[in-house]
Amino acid sequence: MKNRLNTFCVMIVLVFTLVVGYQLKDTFSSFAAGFNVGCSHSSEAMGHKKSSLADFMSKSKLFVHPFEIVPSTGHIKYDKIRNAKQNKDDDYILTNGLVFLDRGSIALQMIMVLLNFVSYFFYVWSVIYFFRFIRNINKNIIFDRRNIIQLRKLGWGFVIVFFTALAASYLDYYDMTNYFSLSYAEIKPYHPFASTEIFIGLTALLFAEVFSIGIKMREEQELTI
Amino acid sequence: MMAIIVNLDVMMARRKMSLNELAERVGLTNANLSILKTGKAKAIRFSTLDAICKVLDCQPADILEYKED
Repeated sequence: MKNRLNTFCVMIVLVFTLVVGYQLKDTFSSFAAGFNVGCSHSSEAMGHKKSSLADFMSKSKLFVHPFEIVPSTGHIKYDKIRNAKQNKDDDYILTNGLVFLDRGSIALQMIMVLLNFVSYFFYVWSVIYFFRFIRNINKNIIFDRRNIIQLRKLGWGFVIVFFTALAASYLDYYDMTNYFSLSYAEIKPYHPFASTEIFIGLTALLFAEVFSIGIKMREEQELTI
Repeated sequence: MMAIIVNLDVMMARRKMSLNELAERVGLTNANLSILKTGKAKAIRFSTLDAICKVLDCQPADILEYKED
């Protein structure tokens, strides 16, 4: 049983690592882009020749907004894309986009960055409590109050992750819609986090209550003379 | 708080029996009997009650009392 438990734990750790890894990669890519813009500006001020990457980044705008596209009824706009496999042009339609704008609210951007870091912090925090819970199970500490506390922290951690990511996503959408729109489609906020975080969080909280009931039953059994 | 009061110590005093002796004769551990004596027990098996009444030569009502809160 413990082998199965540990196998599932390893699989969960791998999934966590991939998810957090991709999210961190996206965050630091944005940071690197902004850093490169800053470097190219200071380089230009000092009279040095700009690098090709910095030159490219300086043409990019500072406010990057991901979004989803929902075509308006009767206004679906098809574009052509070259199908290399069949060597012909096929119709395609964009459903996701990334727009670079030269306007935006610095304050909102800073709040979004803060929310995203809070989200990452609680993600790692929840994973740590998950490891502690599994470590206790491996030590045969199962129906114990410590496990209930860890499950609750894990659960609330993921709930916070979901809501902070959601808030960041909607702030970004609000900022973008002040300066950008499409004539043929409705723009929807892009929620990069799937709803798995809220599901995991609520499931962990549910299991905490199940463990609490288990402990109560065990205590009643032990105190039956 | 449970309204069932365990008066085991009263019967033990009447029969001049120590906790150790009662535990040994009933077949319980000192710890379990202590839990019963101090009112921390959540339940008692009939078999245990039967053994205690047999050893102390008493009725269940002599050991268990209901007092509403």
